[in-house]
Amino acid sequence: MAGRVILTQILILCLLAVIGLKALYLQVLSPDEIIAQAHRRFDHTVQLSPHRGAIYDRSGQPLAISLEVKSIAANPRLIDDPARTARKLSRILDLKASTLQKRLSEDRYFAWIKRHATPDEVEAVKALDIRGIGFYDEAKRFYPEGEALANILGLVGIDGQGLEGLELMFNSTLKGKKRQIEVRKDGLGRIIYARGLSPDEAKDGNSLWLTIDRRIQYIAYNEIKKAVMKHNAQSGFVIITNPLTGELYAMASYPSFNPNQGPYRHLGGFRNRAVVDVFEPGSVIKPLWVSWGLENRTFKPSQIIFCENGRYNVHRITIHDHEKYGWLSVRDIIKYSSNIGMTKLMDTVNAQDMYSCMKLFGLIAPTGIDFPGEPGALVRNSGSWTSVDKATMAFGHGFAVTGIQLINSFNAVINGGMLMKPYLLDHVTDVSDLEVHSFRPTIIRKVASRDVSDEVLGMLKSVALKGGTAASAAMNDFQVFGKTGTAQKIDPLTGAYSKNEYISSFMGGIIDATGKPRLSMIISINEPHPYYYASIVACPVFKEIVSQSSAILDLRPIITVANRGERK
Amino acid sequence: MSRYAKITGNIDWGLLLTTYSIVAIGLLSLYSATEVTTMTIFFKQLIWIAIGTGFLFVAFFLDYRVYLRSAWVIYFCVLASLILVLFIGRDISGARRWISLGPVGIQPSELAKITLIIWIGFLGETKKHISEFGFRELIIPAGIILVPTGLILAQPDLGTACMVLFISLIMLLLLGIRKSTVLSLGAIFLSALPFLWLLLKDYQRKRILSFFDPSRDPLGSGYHAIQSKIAVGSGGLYGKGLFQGTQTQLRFLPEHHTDFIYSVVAEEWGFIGSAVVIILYIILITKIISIGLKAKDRFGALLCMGIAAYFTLHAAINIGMTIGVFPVVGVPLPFISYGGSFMVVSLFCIGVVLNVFWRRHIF
Repeated sequence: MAGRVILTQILILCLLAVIGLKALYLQVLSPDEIIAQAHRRFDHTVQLSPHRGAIYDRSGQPLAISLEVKSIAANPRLIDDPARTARKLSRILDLKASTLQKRLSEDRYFAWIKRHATPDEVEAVKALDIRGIGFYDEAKRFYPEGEALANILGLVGIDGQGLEGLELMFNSTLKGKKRQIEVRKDGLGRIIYARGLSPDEAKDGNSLWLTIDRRIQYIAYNEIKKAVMKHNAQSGFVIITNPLTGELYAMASYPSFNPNQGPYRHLGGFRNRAVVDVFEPGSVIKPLWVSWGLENRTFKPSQIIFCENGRYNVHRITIHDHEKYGWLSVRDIIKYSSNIGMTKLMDTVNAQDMYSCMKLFGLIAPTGIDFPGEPGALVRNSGSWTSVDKATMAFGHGFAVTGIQLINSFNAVINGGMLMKPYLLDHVTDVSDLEVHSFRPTIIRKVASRDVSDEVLGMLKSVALKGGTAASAAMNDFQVFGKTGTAQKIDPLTGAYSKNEYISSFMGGIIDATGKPRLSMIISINEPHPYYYASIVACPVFKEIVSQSSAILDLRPIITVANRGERK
Repeated sequence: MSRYAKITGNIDWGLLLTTYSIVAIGLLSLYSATEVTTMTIFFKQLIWIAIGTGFLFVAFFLDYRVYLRSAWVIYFCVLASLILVLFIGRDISGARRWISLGPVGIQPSELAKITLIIWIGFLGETKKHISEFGFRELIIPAGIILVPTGLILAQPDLGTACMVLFISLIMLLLLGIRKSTVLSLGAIFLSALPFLWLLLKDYQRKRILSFFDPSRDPLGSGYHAIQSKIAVGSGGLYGKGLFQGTQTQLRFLPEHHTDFIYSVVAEEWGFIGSAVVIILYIILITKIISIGLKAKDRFGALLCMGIAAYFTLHAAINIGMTIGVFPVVGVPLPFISYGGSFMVVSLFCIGVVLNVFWRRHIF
């Protein structure tokens, strides 16, 4: 037996030696990889979301704010009876029990049950006191102004990232810096302790203060909505600016969407048509050509042009006026909006100069407004323009620009010749309400002299007088100036200009008792039916918006002078 | 010479010291392992050690030949308890392994191991004339061994059943089996392997498969193996220090105070600690074997050999599964794992060995 015992003893020693060697291998020869594995198991970083900054209007009213809401989540590994739990939760949360049960049965440590639950739901679920159900503070974005500002502000996704509009444009400013905390978790995923808190880097988001006035925005949105509905139009937008500074008081689009209802439903409504859509401007372009022509002494205000009694042939196409005009001065060409007159005026100007004119007035490149997705103009290379192209471009066809480009160039025409940079963001404040950036009016370039500007402004005033195309925009309290445009749209089926579809616009402003242009506006209504003339469709919107917002902007009525003058 | 001096002179102090060194290491590790949960486990273990030490004394003073005389009685008592546990046993996660005796639970399967050691010793003593067992002589012993093994399998407790079989097999081999019989038995076993595989429960198969490739189910059946390897490996040469083990302290490793206690030792005390524990087991087992070789009679020798096999298999398989040499089976680590029955039986065994040593010159 002794021999067998010794053999056994040797075997035992070998067995234990093998085990010892394996321990040696694990612990001494290759521990680095294993230690790294161990760290992966318990070291995690947790990202604490900073509070997203708010967006305010020019008077400090909140337009977008983040509020703390509760979200309900589960640790499915701790749920004892997924089916019963799912049934209970589904009754409270209005979710499908089968979906919930599936989620609760998954082999993982975390599953959302309901994001952004209402306080009532949270209380009811808390009352159930289910093991493995937890509540997390999350931020939900609220937009008090709803649809009126949706196209400007855009919206954020469920995790608080900007998806559209200013929320997207200034996402990094608004969102702040994430706080990273290194934590150690135990085998059940619970945080044991946190370390490496980096408070210096962590920062809540900054807040934006816009040039937008909430009240004017509301009026503008309401009026454009009413007009679009009244005239059975497709869509419409309005931009209201301070022509002297380039700041925007309001910018409204219709259709819009309700940003408080969550994203993903209204893809069509997301667009801020005033900035991202291009369209053929039509006659509203005319003051710009006149301004340029006067500046370059190509023609004089008093110069008279024969308007061919309403029919004028350029090569194979015939240009029409809406009425038969004979001899008209430049001033009257603007007042009556004669296409023939404008075409003949621009006949002497070569294509290259026309292109430079557009470039000069900021109609080619994007304006650089602080809004995402702004395109430049759609315009062909001037080298390929035919005389027909030139003729139609004289009255705003054959190229497409954005609303913001139009109103901005128009402002340069009437404000003394300064092309300003349009802007929405006035200043940025940090968490402690200290200003970190502020934006001043920016002159891009001088495009016309004061005299020319005053001259064209005078012509534009006459447009809103009796006999002018925008007579319907005239107001008692203020001196109105402006230019109408009724542009034919190209029928996508035939590729030719349609006889039924128009874009009806008005670009204008008012001068109050201070004697200065205090406000300018572009109104554009797409495909109105059956009436399409700007004087019927767009001008009343202008009047309505001005009269409603005059008190807000502290406009001074100029009743006295005009009325007395008439009585005399 | 006083009786006292006679006793102390016949105690293998080295064996006792080795045993209680391992017990001390076990207590420290247990203290560390249970620090985050509850201290009651630690104090319970202290009580069990005390009870076990009492049994050690009893075994030490009790002539081991008592077991020889009552081998059949012991065998049938344990058999009865194995049957009883299937009916009145406490149901813990689908297995009935425990009999409740007031506040404590005892595991009859733990007693079965030592009972078969006694019975095979008895077999060797009574069949002295057979130098090598053949097929025919093995039929009855096989039945004696397989009945309790089957009952343990029925609980079900595959790990313990295998343990009982292995210990019995080693003892029979030491007793002497004809070469031809060994070879044919081995052939039968090998050819039966595929059928045994089919008999295994799903989770048992998974465990064995994940031993060969733990990454096939890292969060399920492979989890223990991976986690304990990480725990052991992250100990490094010197370890993280007492109470500093993250894997065990942070409860990445379930059951670290019972079957995976070695990972606590290895993580907190490093390779130095794990090597010390292995060396202590080698000393312990070598001592028991050498006592067995000096035993007065065949029964005493076989008892020691069986007990040596008992400790060897438990230690080797437990440490082996912790560091990934063996598949994960529920086998405790002698003197270190938390568990009452096992601690008491283990200490009792040491008492038996000491008694064999003491009585080597008597009679």
